[in-house]
Amino acid sequence: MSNLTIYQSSAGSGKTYKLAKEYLKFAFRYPGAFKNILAITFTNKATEEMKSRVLNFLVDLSKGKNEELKAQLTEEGVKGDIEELAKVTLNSILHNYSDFSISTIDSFFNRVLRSFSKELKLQINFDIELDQEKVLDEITDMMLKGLKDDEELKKYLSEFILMKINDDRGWDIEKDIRKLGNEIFKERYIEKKYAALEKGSGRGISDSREKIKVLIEEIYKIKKEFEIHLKSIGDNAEDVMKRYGLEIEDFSYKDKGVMGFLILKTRNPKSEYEITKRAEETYSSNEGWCAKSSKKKNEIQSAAEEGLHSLLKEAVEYIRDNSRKYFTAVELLDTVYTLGIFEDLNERLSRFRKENKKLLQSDVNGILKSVISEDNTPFIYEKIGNSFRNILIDEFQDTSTFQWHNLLPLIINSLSENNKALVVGDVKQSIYRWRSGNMKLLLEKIYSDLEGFREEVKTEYLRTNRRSCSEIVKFNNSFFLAAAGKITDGIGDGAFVELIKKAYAKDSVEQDYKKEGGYVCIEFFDSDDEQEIKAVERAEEKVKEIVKEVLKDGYGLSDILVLVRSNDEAKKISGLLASEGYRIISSESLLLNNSPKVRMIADLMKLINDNKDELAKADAVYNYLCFIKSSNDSLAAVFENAGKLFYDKIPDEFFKESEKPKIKPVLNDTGVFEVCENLIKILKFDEVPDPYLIKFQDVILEYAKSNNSDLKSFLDWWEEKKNDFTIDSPRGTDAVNIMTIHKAKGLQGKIVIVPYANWKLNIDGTKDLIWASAAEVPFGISSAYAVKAKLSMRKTFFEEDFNYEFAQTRLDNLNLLYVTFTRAEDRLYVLVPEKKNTENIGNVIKSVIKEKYNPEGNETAVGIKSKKKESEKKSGVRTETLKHFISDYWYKKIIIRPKHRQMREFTDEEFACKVNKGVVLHEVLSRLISFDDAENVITKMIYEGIIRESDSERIYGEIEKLRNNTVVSDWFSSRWEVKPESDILLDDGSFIRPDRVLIKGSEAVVIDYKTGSVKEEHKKQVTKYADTLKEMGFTNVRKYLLYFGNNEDGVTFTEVSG
Amino acid sequence: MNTFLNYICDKVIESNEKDFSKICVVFPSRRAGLYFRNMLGRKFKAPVWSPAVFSIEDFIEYLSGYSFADSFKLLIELYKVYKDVVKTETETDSERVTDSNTFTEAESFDNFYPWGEMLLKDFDIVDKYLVYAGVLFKRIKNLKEIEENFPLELQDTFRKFWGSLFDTDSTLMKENFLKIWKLLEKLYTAYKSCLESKGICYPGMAYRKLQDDLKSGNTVIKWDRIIFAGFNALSNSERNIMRILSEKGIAELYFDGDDYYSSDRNQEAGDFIRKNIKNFGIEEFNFGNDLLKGEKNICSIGTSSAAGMAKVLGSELKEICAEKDFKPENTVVVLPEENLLLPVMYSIPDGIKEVNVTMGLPFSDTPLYNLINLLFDLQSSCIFEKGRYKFHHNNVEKILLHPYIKFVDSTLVYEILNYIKKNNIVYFSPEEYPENVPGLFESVFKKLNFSADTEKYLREIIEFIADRIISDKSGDVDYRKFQLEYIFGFYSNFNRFSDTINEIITEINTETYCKFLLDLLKNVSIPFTGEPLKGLQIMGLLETRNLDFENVFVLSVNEGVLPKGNMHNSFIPYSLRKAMKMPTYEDEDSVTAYYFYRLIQNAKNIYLVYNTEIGNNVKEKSRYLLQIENELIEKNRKIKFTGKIVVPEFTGIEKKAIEIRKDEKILEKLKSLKRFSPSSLIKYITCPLQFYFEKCAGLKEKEKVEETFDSRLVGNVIHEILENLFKPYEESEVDEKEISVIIEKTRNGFDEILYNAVRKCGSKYILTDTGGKNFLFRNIVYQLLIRVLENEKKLVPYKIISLEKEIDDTFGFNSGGKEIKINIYGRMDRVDAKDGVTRIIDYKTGGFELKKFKKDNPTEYFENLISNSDFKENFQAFFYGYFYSGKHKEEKINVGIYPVKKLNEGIHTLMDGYIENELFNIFEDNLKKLFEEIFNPEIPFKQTEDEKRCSYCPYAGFCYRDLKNAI
Ligand code: SF4
Repeated sequence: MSNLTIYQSSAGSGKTYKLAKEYLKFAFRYPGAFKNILAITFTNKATEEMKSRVLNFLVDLSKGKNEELKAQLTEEGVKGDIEELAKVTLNSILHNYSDFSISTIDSFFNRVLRSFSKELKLQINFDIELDQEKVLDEITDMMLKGLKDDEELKKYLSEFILMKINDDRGWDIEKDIRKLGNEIFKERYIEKKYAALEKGSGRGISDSREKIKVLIEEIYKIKKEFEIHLKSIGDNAEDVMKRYGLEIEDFSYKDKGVMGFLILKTRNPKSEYEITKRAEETYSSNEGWCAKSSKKKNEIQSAAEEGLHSLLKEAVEYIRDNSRKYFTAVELLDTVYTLGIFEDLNERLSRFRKENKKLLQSDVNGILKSVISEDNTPFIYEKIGNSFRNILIDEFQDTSTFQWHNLLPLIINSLSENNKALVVGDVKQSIYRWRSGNMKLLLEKIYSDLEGFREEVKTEYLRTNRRSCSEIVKFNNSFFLAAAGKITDGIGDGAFVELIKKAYAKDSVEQDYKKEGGYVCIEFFDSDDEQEIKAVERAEEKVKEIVKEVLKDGYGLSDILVLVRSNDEAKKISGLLASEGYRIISSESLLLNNSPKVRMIADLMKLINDNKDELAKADAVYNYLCFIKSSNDSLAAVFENAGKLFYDKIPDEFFKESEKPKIKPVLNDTGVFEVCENLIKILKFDEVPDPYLIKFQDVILEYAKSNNSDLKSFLDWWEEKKNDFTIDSPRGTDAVNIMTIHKAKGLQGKIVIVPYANWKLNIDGTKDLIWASAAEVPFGISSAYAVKAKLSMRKTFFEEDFNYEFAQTRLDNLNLLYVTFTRAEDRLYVLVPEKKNTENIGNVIKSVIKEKYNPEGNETAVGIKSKKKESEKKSGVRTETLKHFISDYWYKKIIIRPKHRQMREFTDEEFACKVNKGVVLHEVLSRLISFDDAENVITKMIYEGIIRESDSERIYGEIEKLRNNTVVSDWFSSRWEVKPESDILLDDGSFIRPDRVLIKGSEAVVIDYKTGSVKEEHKKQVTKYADTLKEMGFTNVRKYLLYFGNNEDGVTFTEVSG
Repeated sequence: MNTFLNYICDKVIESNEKDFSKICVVFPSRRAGLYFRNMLGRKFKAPVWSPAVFSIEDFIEYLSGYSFADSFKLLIELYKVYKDVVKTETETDSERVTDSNTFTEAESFDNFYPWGEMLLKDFDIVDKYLVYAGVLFKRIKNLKEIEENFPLELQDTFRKFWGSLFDTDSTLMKENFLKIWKLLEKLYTAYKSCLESKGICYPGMAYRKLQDDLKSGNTVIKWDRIIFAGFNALSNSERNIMRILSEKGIAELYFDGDDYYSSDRNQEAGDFIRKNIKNFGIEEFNFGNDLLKGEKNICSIGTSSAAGMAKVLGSELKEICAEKDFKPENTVVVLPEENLLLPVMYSIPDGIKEVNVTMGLPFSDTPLYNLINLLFDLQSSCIFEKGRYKFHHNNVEKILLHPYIKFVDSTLVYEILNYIKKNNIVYFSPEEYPENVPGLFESVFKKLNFSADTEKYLREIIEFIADRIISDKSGDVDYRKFQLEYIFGFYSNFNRFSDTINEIITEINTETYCKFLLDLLKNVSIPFTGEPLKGLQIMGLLETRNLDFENVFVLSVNEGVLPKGNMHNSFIPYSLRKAMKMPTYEDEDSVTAYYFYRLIQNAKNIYLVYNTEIGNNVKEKSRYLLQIENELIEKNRKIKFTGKIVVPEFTGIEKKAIEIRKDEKILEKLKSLKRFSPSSLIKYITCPLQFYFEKCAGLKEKEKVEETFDSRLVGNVIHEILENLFKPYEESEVDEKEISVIIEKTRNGFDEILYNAVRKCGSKYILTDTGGKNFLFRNIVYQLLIRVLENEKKLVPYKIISLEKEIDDTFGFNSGGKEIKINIYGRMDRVDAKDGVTRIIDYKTGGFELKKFKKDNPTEYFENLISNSDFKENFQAFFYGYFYSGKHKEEKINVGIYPVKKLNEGIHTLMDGYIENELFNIFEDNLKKLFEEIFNPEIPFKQTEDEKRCSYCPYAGFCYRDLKNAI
């Protein structure tokens, strides 16, 4: 009986459909079953999609629709009336929606972590910081500031910079450190770190520094020893040679022969001590010292006997035995100093976490790793309040090692209780390794980790491709089987070859199809001589032709998806198609920073800050006149007279009324969000709703949530981030979509064009750092090293790590190709401009095509180009365009009764004393029924912040004084009925609140408390109160005014007559 | 509209008394009371005594005789108790183990603070729900205890919970849980008795006390009737209070509901109403049924950002406020997220003249909060150097530019800023500023040492600002009054804060002080107390309780906001809460559902706006929308439902290439340019437009403080130093001996050498001993320099002819038939003579590539030279060679580049041997061509085609070539 099913789901095979269906099967088992299902996805978007897919299924089923699904469910063992089950489940989910646990893996684990924050000694209210860049900036800054007193760190950094200089790379150390620093957030680093921690090493910064020091010394020693030893062999050999009166030219092949090795190579570190073939032969046979025709045959022979051969032997053997160690040391010299930098950054990172009450998303999995275990699972469920029996995991190929570590106990828990779980993934679509995704999990580890449940684990292949037409599916079927074979060539790691073969096994690659038709065209563009650029240009020409052709066949622009590898490529294609007059959507065209309005607002913000910023002024004027007003001013005039034009052309509302160079005050007075709104209004950008502007406002809003809201802070930030924000890709716009393959994952297009199918296949030894480790002495000192992924690593102890990385990279690139090819529905055009001297994906494509399809020509096409078929309209939510864009000054509309009149009491001590006496007493008296309540009332007012504690004594004193006044004390006596909340409602809905009303029969007294001096309006007011009382039927009404704070006694009162 | 409040009015009037002051009406919120009184007054022709109207909290506080203390005060009291408890615990605990992970040491207040807040909430609930704390907090040692000590109905849950702790092996996490749990019971008891002794309480305490008092008949009730109106979820204490009063015949209860959810057991919105009806034994209750029977328009609108929601609201409001019978006071905008208040306020269309905001503006949205934040940042940027406190220029700049500070004296602000930039002051101290800085500025740039300082500091600054704002008449009056409200809001909280914190913690450091204050202020909102019943209403969801509006707009109708969702902040595990009948997230969901449906039950036009941009902070559209779509509109066919996505129209952005035609003015400008250097010509070759911006339009970048070095500076400094070092040997032979002397000199006096060179380079980057980057700079220059010098040993002997010799020449060419002569300028790093060839040598610190000269195709080579910036090193080399040879016709000349970074590659020379004169002639022709192009009015200044050139261009903004987008 299988409880865990692993679905290998190739592209287009209806993975979400499958997941949703399986979800329903679990949910239909008993009422409320859905509460015990946990479905895990990787992105928020996927979560939403899956939720709505499940709900839509339920809605349809409950209405008796979707017969196909219904039939499948019945067939797959769902018992009972499916319509009824759907109804009940739908109802249950809709009304217990919080238990509808479809969640991203991150948010699920964050929730777990939060519920244990106290036990884990974390800050209770920690935030998860998603902006790693920001954190890195901060810690890098801290590091550089702290450099002053840290000799060792200075040394690390200097070495690091020198390394950069040697590599002829940039100087911007901050940027470099940040880039390096990014590694500390990656799992591959954290993993090594944890491994070290568990071994009890690597704790604390100074400790590691000690070790680094030792290591560096060792490395130099190794290098030196090796070189000296070989040099001495070379020297000896030379001596022997000289002794026999010989020159290197006398030996066979001269400096290219065995003597070249023995005398030259041994003494030149640059030679990399390569044991040449000839040296090898002579070493084993003691032959080949001299050419047959050599005149000095005898001398040479004797020299060989007398020493050269044994020296050769020594050299070859010494190199064989020690070169790995030597090369490892040499390799490390380059980067060993980065270790120290890592240590330091790491230390600062933990300080940052503590001080800011923040965790990084990358921390969460690591922390939980030490928490989640089978032993804890039931307790965890108890605490978070959900107990999950069924677990569904989507996109399993993107799961990281830590994530899997944390999921595993939950799955084991579920399997041990004989519940079902399922996992869906496709290794071939794993392209997020740089985000720590580990495809090995799906291929191997899940099976080995669940060894104990072997009987219950089953693998199934989802074989039917619903996305692409038959010709495309058939093409991909055979293409990728062959391509996987090509990719494994040149991979040293045998185990990994097996893995790739497994990933691209027949079972996994081959799919059935649902839709007939389709077309695939692959074209190669050879470059003659060195003119690679020409090949690219021809490919680009072809793109234009293809677009023309498909438009002719009835397709629209929005049916076309152009897939590229990098943004530079996207830019090129965008430019190309735009110049042909086609509308395009690319991530660049969606950038906020591409909007003149956004730029203009940012410029004006700069100017509000500093009106001398000439570039900003020119930029504002340029954007305003040329893009917004589309004026015909000559550009030269714009740039040369920007200063003047600025005052002439920018709307007057920007300036202070009648004091022109000065800026409108409110722009100076508000935070960034408000400034932005005001500018929109001033510039009349509110005439048409503009997606870029609204998004810009959104960005500001989001920014202001956790950052300083002054313009300067914002502008600094914006300068860094302005290219990070785009508007949503507009739906249904008739435009060609140009995007990178990574972004296109999960998407599809009727027509897919791949203009540059020639990306690099191998790891970039000059750029990419990889983590490598070696146990050999002395390299075991540190748990891992960041080293450059050069081919020469194969000569070191790091060979294994390198090979793994090397193979992975090749597989990544094949996966990219798989994702690319499987996006197409109707037609796939692949253009391969030749790229010489680098192994690239184009080579792979070419060799497969030559072998399987077309050994001769440069163009291969299968299938037919049919006209566009009318596809059934997908019913979705109606989309409308926003009609108005309102941005209006709020502060003219909001009604307030200002409280700040009382402010002087806070600011002006003296005044406060006087007024406070009044206001506070006023408040105290109006809360008093009788003098006995005084203490309660005053305590309460202290906590309300009205009375400062230090003031309370004085107030008690005042009350005491009042109590001693006979008239006043009568008002607080039991002779009267006091109307406590003596509000009187009037017929217009308002009410009056005399400070104190006393009644007895038809007799009434009304008293109002005042501060300051006697005013006529006071009398009017109290008279109004009295009149109201009369209206209510009291015949005898007396009215008083009680004044605080006028003379020494503090209190006076008058009876008001009339 | 027959609303609930109307119904309550009728109930009040029913009693037929004139004097309603004998009646007390209790609502869940104060706001409902306001509306209610307004309505009641209107029902009479003459004035009447108002009934007493309370919110439930006020009611309970009033009757209990306790005073609610504010939460900060409560927290500090809790902390004091906590410390005591931990102390005694440690002293008496025999099982105490001495590992680092015990919880037996009191945490600092700093760490305790958030946890304390959580505990406070838990304690509050425990009391409100009358939970028997002895059972809840009991620490079980083995499962048997449960059977012995626990009421039967609780045993299962408790066994399961404690079982999960004991069943499997013990883990660190479980142990930690147990340790904390042990503290809780003690803490709870001790804390309560502490508060009691002070006569203050948290609300729950008063609830429990009033319940107890009523039970024992200790409370005097002075009203004849108490009407509890519109309650939904009731805690046990509230329920008991109401029950006791109604059993006495004083209290009446009325619920505000609609049949749709009240009578349908599936609807969680009706959970509590159904429970209440059952609990109070109410037999029959007439709910409205407008949701089921009424005609309504419900419009669900998705849009793709939070700010977009505000704009959608504005747009819809504009549409409906044009309608004839639209009344703003019948319209409510509900904002479940506070931070949308500003965007929403800005999005109210012109047609609406009056707006009343009942929710407050988050204080953190105000410039004042921003200022306080900046002040604290300023403090933490402070360093002590050379006997002075100094502040980082960036923080200083932010402070000075802050509206409130700039406003005080903007001239001075700009003067100081200029001073800082001109003198490249990384750390600023007001004492070093040459002029006197007046009052406020002096106060601001003061270093704080103790928390007491901080209080004074803030008071001083803010009072100053307040005074200025009050006395200033030039600002926007409409806006100023709000600014004053912010300040007032600050004060009222700040006073409370200062009182409390001073009372407890005598000497906390400034940093902690600031952190608390900011924490506190973050949660404060500035109330806009206005005319509550006038104009369009903007409020939070809670405030809508019991109120009815015809037009209802709700924003952020997304999961995670509405409802907030499963985020329980409690130390008490879910299952125990459930067992003890304390509220859980399900209950919270029901409550929110009730608020939501109640809000729309009597409305006519309902707009529900949600964010479609799913992300980390935004979840899918709310369940309520799903419920409406799938249930409500099925049940009530009279509801007109529209679901739509509204987005601003996408209009692609048309980019324009920039091309500058050379008009007369520009040509004049070109001619009048002082001189042309190789670098300005290379600039032209690289991008004519960039050349134009710099040389013709004269657009300069803003000055800024340079805190760090760039490769250009390293290059310049090395040039400078080398010149100085070799200067004594100008015109003489240099051999290894001389080089050794130079190296020695460098080693010994490097700091001075460096300092002078940096100064001389005109760099603003000043070597002080602050910050570590300077150190790195020093080190790099040193290393490179020594390497260069060591390498020189391999190059000797040679004769130095000149160092940093200038080329000052003229060059003539033809333009538009006229001969033009312009000045030429350049500087040759070094000219030396070796083996009979004069070499012009240029040091290069950056990367470079000297292109091979192809003998077979000189035309192409020279074309490249003047049009392709990849050939810029070649161009420069020829340039120097050409002009040098002009004056030294007889010499054999070669030009070389000396790569400072890659010394092992030796000097790269332009040619093997020397450059033949014929080539200089070709170069001359081409240089003419280049100048002719520059001066040709027919050829405009164009943008470069190679966008890579743009990455370091200061004018990339003009060209829209500063767009990068990560994959
Ligand atoms: S951005 Fe590029 S095109 Fe524009 S001026 Fe600068 S270098 Fe020239």
